[in-house]
Amino acid sequence: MAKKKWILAGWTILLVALMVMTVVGCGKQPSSTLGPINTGLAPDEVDIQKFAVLFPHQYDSFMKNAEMSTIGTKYGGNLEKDSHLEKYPYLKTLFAGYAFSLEYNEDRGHVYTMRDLATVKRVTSLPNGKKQVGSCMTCKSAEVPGMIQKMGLDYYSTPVEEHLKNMNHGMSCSNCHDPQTMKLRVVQPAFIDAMKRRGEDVTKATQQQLRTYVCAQCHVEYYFNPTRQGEVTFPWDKGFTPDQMEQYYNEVAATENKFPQDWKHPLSGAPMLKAQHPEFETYQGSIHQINGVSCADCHMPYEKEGNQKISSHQWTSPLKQMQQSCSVCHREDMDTLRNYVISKQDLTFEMLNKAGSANEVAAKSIEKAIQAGATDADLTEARKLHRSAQWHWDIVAAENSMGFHNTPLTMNTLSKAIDLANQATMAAAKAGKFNDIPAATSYSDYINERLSTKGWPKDKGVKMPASDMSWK
Amino acid sequence: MELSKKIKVGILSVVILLAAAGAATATMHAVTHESSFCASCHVMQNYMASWEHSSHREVAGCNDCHTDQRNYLAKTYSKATAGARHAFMNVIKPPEHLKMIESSKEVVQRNCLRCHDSLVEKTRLADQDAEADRKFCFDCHRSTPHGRERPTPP
Repeated sequence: MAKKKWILAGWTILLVALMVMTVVGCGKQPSSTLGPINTGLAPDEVDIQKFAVLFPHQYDSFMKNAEMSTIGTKYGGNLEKDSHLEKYPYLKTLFAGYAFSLEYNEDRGHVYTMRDLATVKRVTSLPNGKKQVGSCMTCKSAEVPGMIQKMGLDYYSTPVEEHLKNMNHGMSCSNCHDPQTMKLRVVQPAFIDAMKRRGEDVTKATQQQLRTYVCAQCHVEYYFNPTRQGEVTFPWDKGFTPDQMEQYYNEVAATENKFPQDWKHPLSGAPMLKAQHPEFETYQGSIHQINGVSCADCHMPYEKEGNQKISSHQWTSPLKQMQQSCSVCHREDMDTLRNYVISKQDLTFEMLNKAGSANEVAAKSIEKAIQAGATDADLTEARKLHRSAQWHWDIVAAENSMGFHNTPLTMNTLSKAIDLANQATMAAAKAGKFNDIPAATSYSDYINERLSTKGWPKDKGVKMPASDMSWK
Repeated sequence: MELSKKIKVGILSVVILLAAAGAATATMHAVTHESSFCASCHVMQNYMASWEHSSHREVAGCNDCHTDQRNYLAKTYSKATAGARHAFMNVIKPPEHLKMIESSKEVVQRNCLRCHDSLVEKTRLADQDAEADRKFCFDCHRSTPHGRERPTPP
């Protein structure tokens, strides 16, 4: 009997084992994407060549940022010394008395950050021997976060030329990736602090958030806080819209942080604000943003290398790579989609130039009022309006997308810029008691050609060989 | 009844029960494994038609993407629960458009990777797996394979 029991037990175990194997053993488990990585690099590694050996495909893609071309886009492009001051003649008036009137170019690939910083007249040729400070290069090199850790606030107040002597690296993988695990992370103190003031701990951000936040470390509006040795500070305490940032400048930066202005306009005498590439802020509330699309989804589309996908590390206009960037989600015919995008940009471009000219007229009108004998007290309102008008124009002008990142907000902002500029002009005319309003500078060929061309030929533009990246 | 007999009867009934359950399960799978079975409900016909015009029809049917393929038990469970839910909805109030419920998204995502795993080996897609705002393959590839029949995600 005991023997029988054992046989029975044996069969039962076998049967159960067979069932378990049937249930568990079937079906291949996906091995999943890149698991944990250990690069073996130092936690503060910044040298891109060290990463290049480990991630050759991503490195090759990154080095394509050296490509220089204006083909594929109607506005923008990627060329050396592509002067905004020549394209938009009214800029010389708008930025009179400020470093941006010395040299102001269209931006280009990330591999050129240090060279462009080291050669631009805003750094090399300030009037009266003034020296540009470290704050300016906060986003230009992977070495900076480490230097801020070591030097503290002294980093920001040390002259650029001093820093250039001690530095060896431009942008690299470590600006966005943890050098040991290659996970996305943010390192820019200004971004981390600004988000903290908004109540968000970005060290706990999700991967999809980080696919935007790594870009938002730099592609944002900022100012140099005078109470903290020129520390780079983002004006987001009251929100991301142009109006909310302006309110922050007027109510917080001007008082608590003793930052009343970027410069005093020599024509109008108004305390002006200079806006800088607010891509991240502009994007907030746009149709793509509310649908959960990150910067990387369009600007770093997956591209096939052999039989595998990598995310592109060549950051440029998706108009140059619509097949990869747009067509994954949007199945429209690409030419139709391209024409639609360009038509949105055309609408923005037209109003942007009107807003720029309206601001030029405002500045000249206040100047005329001063010459006609208007006092500071008479012009208080006109100057306040001019400051606000130019801020609203500049936040669009400095943004890189010609309105595409958020067309409704951009149109709203430009409408305000025109309205405020016209109010400033009227206030000046009233104060100066004149009615022959000064004229704006006429548009350049660059502007006129774009205004009169519907759509844009795909092959129009220039292509140049990659240029010198060195800066030492 | 003496004890040994009781045991024998017990074992026999368990074996019969298991065999019956196994046969029923196998029959259920046999009946439902063709995509045409899914399209026997009117609401599925657009999805069937759009799939028939996609390249996926050569390699993957409804079940290959929409049921849990990790193992036989999981597949049976996902088929039984989805089937029961579909039958209920189809009788009570057939929807005009279908949307995947959250648990279905997990299933489909795993099935995308079942075939396309090596393609995305060099990406960090898996880093998002536990995160609330994770992106699935089909959040971007929303026309695969049902074209415009697949409604945009909520």
